[in-house]
Amino acid sequence: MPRTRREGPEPDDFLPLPRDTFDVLVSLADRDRHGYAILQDIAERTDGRIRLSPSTLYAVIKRLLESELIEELSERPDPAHDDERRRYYRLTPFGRRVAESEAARLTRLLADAKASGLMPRKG
Amino acid sequence: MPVTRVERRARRLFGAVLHLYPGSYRDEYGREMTLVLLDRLRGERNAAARVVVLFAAVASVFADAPKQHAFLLAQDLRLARRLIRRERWFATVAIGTVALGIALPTAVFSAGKSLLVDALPYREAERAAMAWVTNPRQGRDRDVTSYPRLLSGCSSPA
Repeated sequence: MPRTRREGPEPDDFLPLPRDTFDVLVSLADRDRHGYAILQDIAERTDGRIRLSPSTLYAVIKRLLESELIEELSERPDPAHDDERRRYYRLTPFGRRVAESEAARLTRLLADAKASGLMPRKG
Repeated sequence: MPVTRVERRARRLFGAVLHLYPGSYRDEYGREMTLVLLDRLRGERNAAARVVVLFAAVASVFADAPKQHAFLLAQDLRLARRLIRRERWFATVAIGTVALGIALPTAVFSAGKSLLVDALPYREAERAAMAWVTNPRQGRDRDVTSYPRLLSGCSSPA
């Protein structure tokens, strides 16, 4: 059987994702956001434990844009209530697959930890 | 929202630090990064917290800027390698021209310096002298001679 040539990268090629990268993807999973909204969302989800600096955030955003895991929106989702100077970002379908693969990987790791007695089992 | 004095100073400081980034990166993300920093400063309740946020942001730029330079350099090198592979003959001629352009002036400079500028590679080189002899038979005021003749005091060829 002839080997088929791969067209592009597969989601697994990106795993494991760095923590900051995964946080940004998770933040964009439910809605499009601009940079500061991403920071706020990450800070809220982690109870303020993770507060990315602007340079860290945009280094991650640049990598994600180049890998086509996210895209910059040409239109603003909520023109009435935002700053027109801001750029909004959206998860691409491929970016969603990568985030899902990472979530599945973390779930398997957690299951392994529970099975080995590192974590208490519920019930 | 009115811009406070603290924000103006923060913007100025952060704007200056952003110059550590490559120009293209700064043009692309510098304004957004500044906006995010100002938002974060507005979100802090007291001046001490704002100072901490500002200095953390500045420190983060110091840590991240070299990475962006390295990334751009790697990108340029990858592009150069691809172009060299695609245009082999052109690349060979171009690289050869550059190599000659560097090597020739270097060689001329090295030779000129050792002949004209540097001291002779002998002990007490400043005492070295040139000995001439007169050669009336051939009508020369200054002629060369051999070392044995010079030692024996013979001042003209036989």
